[in-house]
Amino acid sequence: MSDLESRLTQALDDGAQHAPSARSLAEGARSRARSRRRSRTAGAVAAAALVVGVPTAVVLVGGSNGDPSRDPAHNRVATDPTASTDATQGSVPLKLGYHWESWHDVTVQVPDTWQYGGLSDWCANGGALTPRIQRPETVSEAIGCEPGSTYGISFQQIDNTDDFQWPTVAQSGSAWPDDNVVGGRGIGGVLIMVAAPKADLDQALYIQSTMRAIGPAGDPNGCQSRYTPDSASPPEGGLSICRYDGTGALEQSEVLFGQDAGDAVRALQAAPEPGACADASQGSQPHEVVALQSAGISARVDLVDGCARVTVDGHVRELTSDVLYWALSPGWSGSVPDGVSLPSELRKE
Amino acid sequence: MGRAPAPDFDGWVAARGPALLRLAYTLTGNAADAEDVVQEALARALPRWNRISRVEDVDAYVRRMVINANTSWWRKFRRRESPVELVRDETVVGPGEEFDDKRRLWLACHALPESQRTAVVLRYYEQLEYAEIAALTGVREGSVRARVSRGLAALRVTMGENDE
Repeated sequence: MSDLESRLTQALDDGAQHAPSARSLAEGARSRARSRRRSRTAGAVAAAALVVGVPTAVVLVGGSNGDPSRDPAHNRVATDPTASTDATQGSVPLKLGYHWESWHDVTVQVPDTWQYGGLSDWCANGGALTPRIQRPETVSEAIGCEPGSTYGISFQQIDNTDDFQWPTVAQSGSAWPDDNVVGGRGIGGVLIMVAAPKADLDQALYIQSTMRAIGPAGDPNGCQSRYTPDSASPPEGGLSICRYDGTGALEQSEVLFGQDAGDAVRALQAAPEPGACADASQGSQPHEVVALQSAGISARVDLVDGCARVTVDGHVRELTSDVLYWALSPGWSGSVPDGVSLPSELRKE
Repeated sequence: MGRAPAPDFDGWVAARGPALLRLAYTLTGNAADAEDVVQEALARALPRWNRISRVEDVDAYVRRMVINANTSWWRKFRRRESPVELVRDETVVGPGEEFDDKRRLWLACHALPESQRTAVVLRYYEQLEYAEIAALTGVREGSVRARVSRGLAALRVTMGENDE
């Protein structure tokens, strides 16, 4: 252990001695749990009222700082009268200028202009409140930006597996920009949140209305929420790219059309015979896998340490930088094994 | 011989609450957030205590809940829900302490990005192995190592020791 590490240990040990007293901790937790139960009940009643009530575009009430689902009667609540609370409801047409972003068992439409990255590192990346798309594994490099988050969308795994919807409301405090509306939806243990400027309320409401569970047929990009050898079923004329984490859960998906799809297929076909590693088995699971599938080609990239490879129509090939250029994306939040030939740049959206 | 009886909620909190609060305090850097994080975790655990109290390692289970509560966006969304007990202000720094090496390291640690800070605290305060941190935070071990390494590098810069 270095000198810095020793001093750090000592500093944390000493600092921890200033922690607050644990007196009444159990009572406090009990009281909070009771309050939570009351809130859930109130929220459920309010949500039901919004569904069956008059389709009011915006409900204006007071201004509370709390969880927007806690007491809608005292919040400034904007609701989308067309939004369904059935998170498993079927397909939604893709709006022009949007694409589908998926994570695990959920999917949502996101504007094409939004970039990948952490919501909390905006101040270290040019200082503009540019909307971002954040997944739980997104690496955030910044320190202490205030407000704490920029606009955009985030996925988060939560304990609550209920389906619920938070109204899109203005939030005060330093967590978001002063000019904001923030909404969210919980679907089967995943919380998707969207934040936008007030002027873009319609956009936030639209995004929220597209949040839904991925059904047995897969997401709109043609990807199943868990990896199987037949994970992809691409839309007509498209090349589905389905990226899975080491547990087999869908991390990200995409569908290419036209020139992009053609270039990706050509990169797969041009991959040479493998060098040292020609392991075609999947015995080295778990590892990250990218499935690429179109009507004419089926490929799987195995991101295995020491044996990264791509299997194209059953034939093991070398994982080239050209293949990775298409297989990964600027938003890939997983890792890449050592020794893989990386492309000189990642694609721009 | 049968298993030891499952601990009751109040008894377990009385015994383990102080350690949880110390962990939360090192993660958050202030008393109000530490109380909020621990209360949040315990309030979630309470309705399921019958089940949680029977897991093999209750301490690790609840500790994980505390860490999740700290990193939870959901908690931040709800952050303005004050802890039920009186919220205390952050510990007042005494005269001369501002430039104390430990104090500077403490502050520098809490200026790290959340993911790095969490990894650093679990490594150097809780003294956990990388694999244990990975299991606790649901992050790959390689990522944990990278976060700790970046965190230490940032601390070296802040402390003016980047030539080390």
